[in-house]
Amino acid sequence: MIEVDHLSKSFGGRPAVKDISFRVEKGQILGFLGPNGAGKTTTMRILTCYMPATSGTARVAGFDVFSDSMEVRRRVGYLPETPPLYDEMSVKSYLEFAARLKGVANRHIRARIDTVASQCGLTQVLPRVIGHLSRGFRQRVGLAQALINDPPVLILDEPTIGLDPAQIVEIRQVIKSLAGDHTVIFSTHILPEVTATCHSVVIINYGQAVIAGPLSELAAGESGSMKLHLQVARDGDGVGRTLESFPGVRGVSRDGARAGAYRLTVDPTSDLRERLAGHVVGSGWGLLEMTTVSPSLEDIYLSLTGSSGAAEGASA
Amino acid sequence: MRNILTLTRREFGAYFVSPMAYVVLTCVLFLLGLFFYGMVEAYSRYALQFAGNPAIAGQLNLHDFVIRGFYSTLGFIMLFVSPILAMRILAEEKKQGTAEMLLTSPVSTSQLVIGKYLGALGFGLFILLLSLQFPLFLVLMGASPESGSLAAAYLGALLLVGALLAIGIFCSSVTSSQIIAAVLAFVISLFFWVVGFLGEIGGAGQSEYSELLKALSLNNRFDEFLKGVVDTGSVVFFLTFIAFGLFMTQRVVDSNRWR
Repeated sequence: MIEVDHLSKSFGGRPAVKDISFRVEKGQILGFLGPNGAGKTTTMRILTCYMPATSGTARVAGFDVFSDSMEVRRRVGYLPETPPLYDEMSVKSYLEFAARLKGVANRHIRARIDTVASQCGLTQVLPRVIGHLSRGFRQRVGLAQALINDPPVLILDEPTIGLDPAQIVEIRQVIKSLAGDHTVIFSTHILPEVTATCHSVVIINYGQAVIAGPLSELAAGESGSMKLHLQVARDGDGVGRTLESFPGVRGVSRDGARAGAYRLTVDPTSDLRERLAGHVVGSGWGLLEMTTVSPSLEDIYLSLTGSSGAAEGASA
Repeated sequence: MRNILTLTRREFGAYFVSPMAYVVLTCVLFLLGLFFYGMVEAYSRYALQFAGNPAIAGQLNLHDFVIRGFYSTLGFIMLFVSPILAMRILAEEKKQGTAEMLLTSPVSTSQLVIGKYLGALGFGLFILLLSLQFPLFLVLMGASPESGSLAAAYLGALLLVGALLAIGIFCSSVTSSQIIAAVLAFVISLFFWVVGFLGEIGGAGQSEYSELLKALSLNNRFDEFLKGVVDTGSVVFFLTFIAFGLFMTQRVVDSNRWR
């Protein structure tokens, strides 16, 4: 549905996006992840035909964003980072304007407004003036605007920014409910967001896509090793040393300040959990807990983008 | 066409949901009323004074004394009002981020510019329609202004406002600050207003140059209409002026995407 090939964009010689490629299948939700200023907004603006790319191509629903711009625009609903709202208009007249602008036939306009209003939880505020609405409602009006012509592709730039936790969950539900019929790209720098909502993820840093793929593949054995968390009741000097020399264990480290807690990096090919448990119990250390730790998206993200996580320069 | 109308309607409506429309209308109508009263009062005084002197009374006519002066004042007021009407058209969209919605909607840049321009022109026309009350007062007072020359004055006023708004929308496209847009529009409008005076002091030696300057003057062109003359050349001048302004605006909006 969305194909991005070697896309680059520079502003006056300063690169904002460098050679990004990824694709999104129909009905999928793609999380677009990266620190502030990594090039997320720029990429989205290219996909929505707001600005042309410097090089590379992008196709949405089979149409090139540059040469078939109008066809793409008809099929894309876009929520920019700041919702594009006219403060002096009422929610209803604003949505009516958006519907006309996006070519919704006159006879369908009322029905579409009702549909998106209930989808985004706006039914109560339809007659109110946008300028008087809270941040959460403004964001939802922005989302409703993107949905008004029922586009097959949705591009949402940080749809949950500035919302309170309850509102974040609501918006997330709306986005999730769109999957299947709609192809969605949304950007965020909040990691749990992606794990909670997306099918696949593109992590971008300094304008480059550092990783792209389905979420399940990323989470499974990123570095070719398995991690175990182990806690024993009676800790001693011998415990750490014995664990280190245990066959199949590659590394041992203390897990935080908790007494008797260890983090083990182990060979994923041979499952040593049973032998290890037997050894711990047999040695009389008292096994309290043993769990496998799969690397969280957070670990992957931080190891890929660097712990500082703040990219300077590139315009957001 | 539907896209253009959608934009025009929103643009026109936007004036009335902000205090803008009411402030502008109040000021314009107050000033017009003041001048109208002054002119009519002076006219009737002279008419009374020279009633016994047919030679002078014959030269006094309503059109030259009231109509022409009144509409030339209206044009002068619009020179100040148009930049204010036009300043928000595109600058505000850029500032509040709505430009991002407009420019990613299935609407071409030309449709966007024309639609918005027509919205502003609609408001300009609304002001002109309200000013129709003044000739109506003349009729109520028993005078009979010539309908032909009135029509010429209104055609001229509409073309003038159209040209001033075309300057305004262009200035609004080059900046995201409404103040800068208004100041820039006023400076450019003023240039095209006074350029005719420059032509007049040009001297006989540079007659072609001064003719050119006079031909470019919005003020001189407008005055033709106030004399009751609808010159095709002037109509074409105004229409070309407007088309050029809109074309430049469209180029600026489109080229902004590339930055």
